[in-house]
Amino acid sequence: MIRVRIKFTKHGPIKYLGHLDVMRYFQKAIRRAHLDVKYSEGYHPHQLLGFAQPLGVGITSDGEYLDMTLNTLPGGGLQGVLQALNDVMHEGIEVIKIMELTDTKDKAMTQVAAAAYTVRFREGHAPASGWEEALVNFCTADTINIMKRSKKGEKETDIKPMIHEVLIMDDTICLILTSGNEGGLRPELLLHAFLQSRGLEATPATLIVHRLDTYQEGVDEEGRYFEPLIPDGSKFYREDPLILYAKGS
Amino acid sequence: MNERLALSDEILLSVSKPERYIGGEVNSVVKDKDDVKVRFAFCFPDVYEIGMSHIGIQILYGLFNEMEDVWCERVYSPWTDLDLVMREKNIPLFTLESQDPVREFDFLGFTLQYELCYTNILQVLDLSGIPLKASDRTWDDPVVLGGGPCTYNPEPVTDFFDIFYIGEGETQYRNLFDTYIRAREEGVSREEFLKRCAQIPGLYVPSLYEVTYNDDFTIHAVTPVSADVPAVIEKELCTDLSNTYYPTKPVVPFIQVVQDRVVLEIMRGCIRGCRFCQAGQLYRPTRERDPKVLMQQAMELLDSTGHEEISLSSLSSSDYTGLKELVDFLIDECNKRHVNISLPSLRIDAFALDIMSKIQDIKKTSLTFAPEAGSQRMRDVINKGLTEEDILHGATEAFKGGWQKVKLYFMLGLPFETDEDILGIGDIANKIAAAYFEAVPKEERKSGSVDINVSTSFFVPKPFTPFQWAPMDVPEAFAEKAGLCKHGIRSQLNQKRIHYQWHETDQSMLEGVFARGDRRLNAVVLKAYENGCIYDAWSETYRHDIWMKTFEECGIDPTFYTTRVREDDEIFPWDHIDCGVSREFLLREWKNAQRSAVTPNCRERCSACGAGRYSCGCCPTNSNGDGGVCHS
Repeated sequence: MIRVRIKFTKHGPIKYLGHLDVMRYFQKAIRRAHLDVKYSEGYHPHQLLGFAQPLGVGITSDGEYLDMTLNTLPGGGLQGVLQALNDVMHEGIEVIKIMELTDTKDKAMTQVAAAAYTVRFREGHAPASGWEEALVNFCTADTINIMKRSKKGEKETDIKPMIHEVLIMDDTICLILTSGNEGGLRPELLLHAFLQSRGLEATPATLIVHRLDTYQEGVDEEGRYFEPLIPDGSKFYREDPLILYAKGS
Repeated sequence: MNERLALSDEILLSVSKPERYIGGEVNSVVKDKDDVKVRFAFCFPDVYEIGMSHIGIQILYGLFNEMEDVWCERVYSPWTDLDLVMREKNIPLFTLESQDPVREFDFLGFTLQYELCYTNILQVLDLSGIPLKASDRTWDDPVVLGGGPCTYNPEPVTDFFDIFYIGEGETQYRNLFDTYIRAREEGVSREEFLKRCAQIPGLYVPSLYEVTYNDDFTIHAVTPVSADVPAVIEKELCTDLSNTYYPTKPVVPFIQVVQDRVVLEIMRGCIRGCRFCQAGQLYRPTRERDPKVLMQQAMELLDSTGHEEISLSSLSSSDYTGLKELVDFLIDECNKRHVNISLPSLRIDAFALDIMSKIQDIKKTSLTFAPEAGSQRMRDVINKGLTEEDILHGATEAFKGGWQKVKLYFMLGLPFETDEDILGIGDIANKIAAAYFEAVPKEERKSGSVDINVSTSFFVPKPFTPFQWAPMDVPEAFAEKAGLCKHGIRSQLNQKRIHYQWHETDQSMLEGVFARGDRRLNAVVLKAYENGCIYDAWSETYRHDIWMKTFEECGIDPTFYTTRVREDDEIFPWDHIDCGVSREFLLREWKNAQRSAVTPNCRERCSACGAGRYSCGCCPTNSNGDGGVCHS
């Protein structure tokens, strides 16, 4: 038995697939790829899959993760798994990395700590010029209380501790926000709250959101950091949040 | 996948389930439009999840796309939210694959699976920018085609179609496409093209027939406008199912649809001859597909789709002679693949219970019986060859095997029905509950108890059945009968174990109007659409008040089509269509029903229904088949 984690991307019209449909899509793709995946017991066996973090409808991504358990590896080992999946994959979804999980405690769903995004205003939806400074001001406040829905219902929450980076370059806002099972901050929620504070109305189409990657948390001698769920050597150390408008860059 | 979508992100993010409109599903077919001579838009005029569950479209989609010079794409009714947006912003309806406007296509083919989709046909034409009436169309518009069960009486919608294809699609479409390609190359008129189509077997061009009425609005005659147009259109059918095309790479939807599984079509037709059932007559003779062919198809289909469930499709799986061989193979193969098997329309007997115990969780699944009527006399009237003894025996065996849930299906409003027949529904449900307590000793009744769900629908007489002569009940009578049925159930000893539900009556009434309707109804369909009716098959969108107002506006009494008593020799609006069984046979069966006389099934004895002329399937005229032999 071997547990593996894959990293995949989601581009183009397939961004309209909701999370449940992406799960169903992978279940079928794994069957088409004839991978020897492990199933649960019982009359209606299901594949033992674990997705890192649901992606909202309409959002593209370069950093989605999925854990699965295989009884045996195909020829070609881990790369063979990646190849078999990509052979039956749909345009718009591509498996780009794979790693073996050695620690049984490693579960994508519980390891998720943060995610990085780029956000732009859809054409015709950008607020009047000067919004960049206003957004920096909005995010530098000591507390940012907004109405936020959780499992227990809607209540006022301070989202400031969930903001790790807000970097505005040209028309693009780069964000690193807390994410995960225990509650996180979706980029739409932050930006909609900002627009609302300016007296502007937001619709589901106001923003173009793209997820760059999904992170887990780690600690080394330099401190606490975020790194991709399949580590690639890059680390983002958690100090005070970086909130910056890189004017004219 | 097509990166260029017909709808903007703004629209897709504002409507429910945008995945319905993006296309690009696994196994969907994309060609270069410049490489083909015929572009065919295939429409199921209902929402995506319903339309994608229809095996007929998957068959023809695959068949057409195997043809090098044809590209077949799909289109469904936009849901009401997108419908409004498209009207407001003047966005033309598009196909899923190319996202191109439907109006640019050579053909727009509709499958007509139920009568309550008729206003959705107009919705699709309207949103496409195609003139609603065939007589207003030019070569700038697609040829609008209809197929499917409702085209056996397409008279209520003849104004909106250029051509109807009567019968099974596998046989004549190539002929139609060749006729089209030739006509376009020769530059002939659309009228000339349609005249040529009328010469193709199975094709009905309604504009080439004239209908005259008697003073009481019954049909006087249906006459071809010229001598070279056939007076009768005979249905098409495949005589050898094992060597007929079947798609092995069906489109796999992203979203969950109604039929989200591999479907193996094991058989067409039904040997039983239930007198209320239209499918049982239309698809005669019963033809089986070789189990060896099906085994091969099953594996290819599971490989190409990745589906986690496989289902057998037929009108009566228990009558398929290769069932044991096929199911044994599937159980073995599906266990290896962790694939579920679903077996609908099985008669509950020892064999069925044995299979079901292997493939289902007994505690969670229900046994399903469809006695259709509450008394033996009534079951004889409808020729439903299921006795109370069969049901109680099957149920007892099942209870001993651990099942606890039972579903029972009945119809109310059947011809010659009396109060006793309706009260009999409660009786039989009670006897099944009693059988449980008798079969399962108290100490073995582990969790819960027996659970019986009774469901009744209202009988709608359909053309080409022995009951095409039968008057249908008015909605008030239906409501009364449902009340009586409820009372019958509530007065039973075990009534606490029995749940009862019944279907809406208003929609059944409308279905009844169109099922046996004539050409005068075209005006009503058009007017109802203009008055705002769409998605009539959905109770949440069905507007009975508007329909009734529309009938009044058009000066048409709906009860003319439903409750009227029809004489034996009345000419029906659908008499120029030949569905394979003869009117003489149907009338004989109507008389047998009046005498509660049972007619044996096709394998017990041939009843000379007329389908023997095809010399295939179970008919004694078929020298290679299982015709006329008693298998029981």
